[in-house]
Amino acid sequence: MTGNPTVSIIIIIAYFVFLSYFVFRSARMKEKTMEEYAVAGRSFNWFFVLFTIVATLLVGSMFVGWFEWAAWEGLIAQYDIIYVVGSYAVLYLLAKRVWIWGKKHDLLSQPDFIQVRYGFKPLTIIFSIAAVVIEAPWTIMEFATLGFLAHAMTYGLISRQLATIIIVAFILVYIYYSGMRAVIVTDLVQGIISSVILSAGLIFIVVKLFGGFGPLFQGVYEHDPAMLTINYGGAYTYSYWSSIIISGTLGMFAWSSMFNRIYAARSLNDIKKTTWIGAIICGIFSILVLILAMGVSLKPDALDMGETMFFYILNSAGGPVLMAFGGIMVIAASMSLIDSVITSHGVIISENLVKYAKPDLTSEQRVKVSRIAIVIYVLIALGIALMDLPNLATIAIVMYEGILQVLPPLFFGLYWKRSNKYGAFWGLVVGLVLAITLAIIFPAGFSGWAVGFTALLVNTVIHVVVSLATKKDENVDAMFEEITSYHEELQFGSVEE
Amino acid sequence: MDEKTRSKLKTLHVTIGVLVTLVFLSITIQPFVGMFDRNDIWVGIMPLNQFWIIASSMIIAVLLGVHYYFERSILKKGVRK
Repeated sequence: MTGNPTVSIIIIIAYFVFLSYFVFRSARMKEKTMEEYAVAGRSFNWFFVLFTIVATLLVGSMFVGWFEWAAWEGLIAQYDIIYVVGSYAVLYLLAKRVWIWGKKHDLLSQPDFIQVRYGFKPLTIIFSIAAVVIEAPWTIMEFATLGFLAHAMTYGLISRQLATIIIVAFILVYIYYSGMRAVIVTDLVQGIISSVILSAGLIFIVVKLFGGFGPLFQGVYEHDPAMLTINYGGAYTYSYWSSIIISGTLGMFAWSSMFNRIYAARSLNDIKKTTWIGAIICGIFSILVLILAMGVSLKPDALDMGETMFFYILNSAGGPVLMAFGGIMVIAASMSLIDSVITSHGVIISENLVKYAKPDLTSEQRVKVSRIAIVIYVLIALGIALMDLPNLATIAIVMYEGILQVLPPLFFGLYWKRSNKYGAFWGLVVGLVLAITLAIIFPAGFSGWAVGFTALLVNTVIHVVVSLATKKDENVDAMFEEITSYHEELQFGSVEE
Repeated sequence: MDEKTRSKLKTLHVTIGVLVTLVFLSITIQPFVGMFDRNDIWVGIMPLNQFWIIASSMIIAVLLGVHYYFERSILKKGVRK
């Protein structure tokens, strides 16, 4: 792909100046406390919450790994649409208890919930380490994606490595400056840009390059009818399709940063209101991206571009200006995910690991620990991202096998009183060991189902059996009573809806 | 919360929960997904499988919205009583 990089570079610089203005003007920390740094003082209304959750689900890799997959194999890549919307349904179901307990117990992270619910530090520590280690590949993958994007946008003038370093340094500065508040403010700006504005751009491209959606589908059908089948003409099993949708749907809730986003909401109503609107925004956006990607199969020159084919298509439709604007939006999508993941990991390291070793640290000191942890974490992830990586989408799917193992302590902890610390601990430990072992021995899974599901099944059985065989945790009745009493407080007007 | 409000909420939760689950399973799990995976039947400009991927995801989103508004309405009536 050839062209003049000047336009792209000017637009990239202008965008970062624009974003910096918002961050440093609107995201100053109100006070130097962990509650402010980790969950932005639980102060954001539904509009901010809407876009911060949209940002979690619309990731930069969608325009790289998934886009390429859809361009070669069609509908199979659209599992993304179903799992994104399914994730919102799960969020709608679970957010109520997470938010209420978060508010009542001043929770700042996902492992904080595990600690309050089960009151067992060994479990919380393993859970915390697992969350950071399992999610780290996603951060690395998104760092690498950012490098690809900027490299492609500048027609190769800026190397992938240099581009990655510059963008990651920018993210690090605003996270260091203001934690979750900066994340949510940038998510709002970037979420609007990447979802709403880019959707209009995608429709324009489809009309310009293919004459509309009808001719695109007709062309794909005539070119390769297997692309218009969910299992790519039998190359995949339907079990595989089920497996990647279900693991994506449930796995999204296992992301530690999702809890920080829920805690950051001003009220429960602010979260519930965003769920269905977010599902529509993310659903429509994903549909447009992946349908356009199928159209790329009709452009052999674009197919040859590999993971940068999205940029090639932007360039073909609107030249360097459209490519630069589209590229910025993709960078925005990528940044919006990793900033929150990095922040939540910094909070976990401070609150759920360092604080246990040094319980006398003040809130302000723990903010400092979080910031230092974030700097070290980012430098390590950046070092790995600068190396060559295999297919990005494959990494994401493999990662979900590990992330699934944190689900039983979360789901049972939220809804089942008999779930206790022993069941949660042994289920998690066995599930993690089994998932890693099976992923090494049987990377292809069993009958189309990822090995993470086998480990999850064992994890769940151990959790249930051990919980039933041992006695109930002492505080659990009081915790569940808090959910009931919240409705009564709502009725008497002592809490906000 | 009075008994009538509780009962209305339960009906709402069950109805929407069942509908969301059925739609989700229809595009996720065999044998349902195989029924919809047809590119020889077209709905307007797109094949049936593409149509159902779009329709099922939008139906789920709208059902969440319906639940949100009905739940608010039921809770507000309960509070007024």
